[in-house]
Amino acid sequence: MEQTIKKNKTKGTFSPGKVIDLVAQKRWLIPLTLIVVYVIAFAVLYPSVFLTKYNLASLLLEFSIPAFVIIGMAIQLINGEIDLSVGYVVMFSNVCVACLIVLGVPVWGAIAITVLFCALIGWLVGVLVAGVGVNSFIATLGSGMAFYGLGLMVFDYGYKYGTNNPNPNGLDLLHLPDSFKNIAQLQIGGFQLPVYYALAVIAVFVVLMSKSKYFKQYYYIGMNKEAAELSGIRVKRTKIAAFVISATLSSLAGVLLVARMGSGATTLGVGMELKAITAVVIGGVSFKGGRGTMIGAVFGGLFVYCVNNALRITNAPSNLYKVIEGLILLCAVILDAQFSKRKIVG
Amino acid sequence: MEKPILKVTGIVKNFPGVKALKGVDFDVRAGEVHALCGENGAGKSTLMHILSGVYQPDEGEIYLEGKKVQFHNQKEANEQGIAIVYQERSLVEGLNVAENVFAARQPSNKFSWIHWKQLYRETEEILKSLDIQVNPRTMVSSLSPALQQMVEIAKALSLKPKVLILDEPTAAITEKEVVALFRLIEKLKREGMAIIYISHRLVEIFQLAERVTVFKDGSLVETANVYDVDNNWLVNRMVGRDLELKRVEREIPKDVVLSVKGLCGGSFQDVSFELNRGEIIGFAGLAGAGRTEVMRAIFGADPILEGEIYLNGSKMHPQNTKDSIERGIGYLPEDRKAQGLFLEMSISDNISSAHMNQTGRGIFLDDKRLLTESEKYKEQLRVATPSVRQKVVNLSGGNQQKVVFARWLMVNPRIMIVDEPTRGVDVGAKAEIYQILREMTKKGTSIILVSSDLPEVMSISDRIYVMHEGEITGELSGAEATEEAIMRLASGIRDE
Amino acid sequence: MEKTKQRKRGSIFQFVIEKRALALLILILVFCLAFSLVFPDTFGTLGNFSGILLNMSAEGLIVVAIVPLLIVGEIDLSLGAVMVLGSILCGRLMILDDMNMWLAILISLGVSVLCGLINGIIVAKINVVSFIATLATSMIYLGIAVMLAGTGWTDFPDPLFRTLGQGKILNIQLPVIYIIVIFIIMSLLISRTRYFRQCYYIGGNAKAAELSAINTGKTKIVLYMIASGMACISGIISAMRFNSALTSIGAGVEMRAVTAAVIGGVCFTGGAGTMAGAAMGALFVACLNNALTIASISQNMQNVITGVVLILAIVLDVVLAKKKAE
Repeated sequence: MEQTIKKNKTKGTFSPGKVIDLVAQKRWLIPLTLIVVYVIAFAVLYPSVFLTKYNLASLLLEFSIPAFVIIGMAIQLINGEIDLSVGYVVMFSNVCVACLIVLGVPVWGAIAITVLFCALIGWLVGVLVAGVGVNSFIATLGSGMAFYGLGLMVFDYGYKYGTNNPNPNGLDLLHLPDSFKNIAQLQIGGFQLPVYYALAVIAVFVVLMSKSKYFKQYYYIGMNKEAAELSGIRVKRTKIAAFVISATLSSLAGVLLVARMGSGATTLGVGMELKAITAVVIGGVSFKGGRGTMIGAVFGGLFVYCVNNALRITNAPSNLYKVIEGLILLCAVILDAQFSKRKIVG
Repeated sequence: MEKPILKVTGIVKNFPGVKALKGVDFDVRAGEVHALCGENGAGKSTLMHILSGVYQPDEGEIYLEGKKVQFHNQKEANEQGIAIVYQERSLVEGLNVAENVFAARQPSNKFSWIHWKQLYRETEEILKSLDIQVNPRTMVSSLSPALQQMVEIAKALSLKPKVLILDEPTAAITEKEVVALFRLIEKLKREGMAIIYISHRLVEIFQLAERVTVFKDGSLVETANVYDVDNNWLVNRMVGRDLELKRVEREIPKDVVLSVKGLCGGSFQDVSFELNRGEIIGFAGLAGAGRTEVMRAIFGADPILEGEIYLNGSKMHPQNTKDSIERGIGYLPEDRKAQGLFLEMSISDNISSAHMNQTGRGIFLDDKRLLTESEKYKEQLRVATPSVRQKVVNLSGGNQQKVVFARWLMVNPRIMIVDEPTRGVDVGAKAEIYQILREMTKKGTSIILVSSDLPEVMSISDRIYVMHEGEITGELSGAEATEEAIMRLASGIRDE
Repeated sequence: MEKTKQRKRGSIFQFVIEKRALALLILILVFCLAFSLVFPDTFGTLGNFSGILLNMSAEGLIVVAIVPLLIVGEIDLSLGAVMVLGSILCGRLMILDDMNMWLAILISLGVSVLCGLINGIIVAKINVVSFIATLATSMIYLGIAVMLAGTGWTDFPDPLFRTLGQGKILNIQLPVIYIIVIFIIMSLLISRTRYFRQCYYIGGNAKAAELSAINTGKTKIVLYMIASGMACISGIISAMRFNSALTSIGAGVEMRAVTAAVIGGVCFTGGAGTMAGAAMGALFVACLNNALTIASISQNMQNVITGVVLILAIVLDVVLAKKKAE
């Protein structure tokens, strides 16, 4: 990655047209630039607060768990679909795994059951969309609702029958054993474990998405489903796989989230899909499908959490954050619409 | 009565790379049915688009009732009295018949409030005059395709046009409705409407029309009174041309690589044919004959209802396209933009889309190798582009087609099906594509060519099968195939 | 002969598809009747039913707002935000700036319609996919609303304001009357005026619509403006009812509106569906939730059930569309 950046910097003349072409071609440069700008700006303005290891660690930690969801969402959008259920899958998983543990199921068993269940539902939704032909927006809207409801139900059950009786004052506490919490709360070198997990998963998927045969198919399918079918790509099967992957990743995110927070809550994860979509679009993945890169999506996500971090440091009102995020998304999207019009030399 | 209601002179229309109309003079009189025929791409549709206001002519003039007119859009043409019923549906399924007949023109007061009683009444009248037994309140979505076609006609008639253009109106309707349609046309004729009737079905032309005009290659060949001519005359005018392409007579030894028996699918039945190694067989026919459907079924893109396929002697049932490709069958689709190309992706990505699974180590792509391979094909096929990283959307039609060809060259199938390989391709690229096909056969590939371009089919194919309305109507060897013979079989004319 | 047999079998499905509003109404009546027999004291009372309608009054307007947009094949995810913005702005003007009630309402409406205009331009002129465009603007509008809100506004000074939200006419709550009136007006516009009927043409066959010289861009922009206007009214009615303007209202309301509309037969991809159907869909979901609550089935299960009903409705539509194509 560093190499390509250097190469680009030493290219010929910098006419505005050429620069725009370059950026359009390597869309991940946009969020990367934004991140660089942010880092520099805050290093200069708030050196004491920003440049501490603590701040960086917490920034990366904030980002690490949503990163899972972002990866899944990127695959779906590139593939020409959308998955509105991911936030609820995260919420359901967090409650489900907590509940199972509190009911006495061994930690790894609880995680396995939760993730497998979500993957199974993901498969079902995939069949609904790819096989039956239901619009993915509506299908995942519906499955999201179902997950939400299930999550609330599971939480109630765990609350009533859990062996660790929760604090009667707070309705959202399910005390979890250290053996579970350590999955997310241990630190290595000053960074909590989820940061490393995220790094690993990101690395895997960035490589897979850009270099593997299987994932290249998603680009083809998203660009022209019919032509992909006629090129010998098993469109149905591959699309269903995307739903399974998205559900699995979201489920893992939910597990990590509850491990990090220390207790299950029915608010964790809700709304994450919108953040993921924002991140992914800022990163250059288009709603039209067939374009965008995983690394771009990751940078987009990182940038979104940088802004989050920025607002926390400057103590800015949280609503300002909403406005800024919205403006950035809007610009990204308008830019995307304009970029599509250019004839870009690859 | 002799003076024409609609007259056009010197109409020229060019599209990038194609001269669609080369200076056409045409007219139609009140109370007559003027039939139009000609091959696909001969220019009939373009002229109709111009008459109905969708396209504007580059040169030439249109006169309606003696006055010169210009249409900037279809609405203007409608208002001036020209209505057209296209082959493609323009109906909105979510609305009822009445609202489709008076699409966006429902009778209403100045506040835009619709007069429903009037709407239904007027629709009722039109439907009755068409002898269509449909309640105007019925949702279009619940009508059969034939009835939907009738609603389209009612829609055109609601404009109270002076000139009615019908484009292949009997393509999707049953015998009973055809009878009703003809009765209506006779009635309209008596009332003085001028009707332009486009059809491939020569029988209908002789039943309905007063005059017939033949189009060929963008020009109007000849107009005649229907009583003075017959089928042969028509066929002759439609295709008679100097063949620019030289035929190369080849001896193909009998070595059957593909044998299809009694194949039945959605829109074809009882299709049987054979393909020998290194042979090129052509499938000729008019649009809608079912050739593409047959090929898609063999390629595994559509389901097969009945019948058998033998590949090199062993029976096969294509489950999906991947299966067929692995067995050595390739398919170049009819509509390259919608079905063949990944427009916003690079040439290299397009070329390697069907074969990328075969290159590279394990699960990883070998991008470098794919690029060099694509370069190789780019050079070989002379694709006019500085780099294989260019987006395919920037290329001309001919070069785009070459890219799709390159994809299949990379796969190197034993049987290659090409569907309208030179549609929308300039002359130079055409010749190159023919050369590609010949080269492929030299390497042992057998080719099935589906094409509506008769000279093409005749000069390239070793044998020709002709299809008409879902069935094979004849098989001709390269030598005995004449344009007339093919056209007769394609039009369903039987030698009785 | 076979065809007629299939037609007869399909006719029940046909009925459900074509006369969705009627089918749902029958379903609702049967359902309510059944439930009233089981829970006569809690479900089957007039008070309960009027409570259902009252609770629907605010979000119901969002359903009315979003249906025309769905019919043209677009969506608006910023309606919840505009709802909040409208109510907050109105509150701020009245409480902080001591403005006359009607003027405050007018200004709020104006600002909201402006939001709709922006939405419309981004979608129709700049050609951004409506989902993501309105997602972005929703963030912006909500952020602005929260910035204006501080801690929210309570205790509106003007007693008329409260009366408009809490009063009754003929023992029917005013907000219920508002929504019924607005629903009737919009329903009539969509179903009986040529201008608004264009939605169906645009959504059903965009190419043909263009050929008929329908200005698709302008129509979409107008629809976005109307939708935002109604979202504003919804927010203000909510403020009137509860005598407070808070930023917590309206979260996720668009998705619920889409759910109701789709259950009510509005095709997500455009070109089909009626306002009445969507209203029935919303009513059905409201009755269902109310009944389940009374039956002590948890909120959670209700969500699951709603989700399942949504999916069933879609699958039904898709399967029937496929059957039709054969």
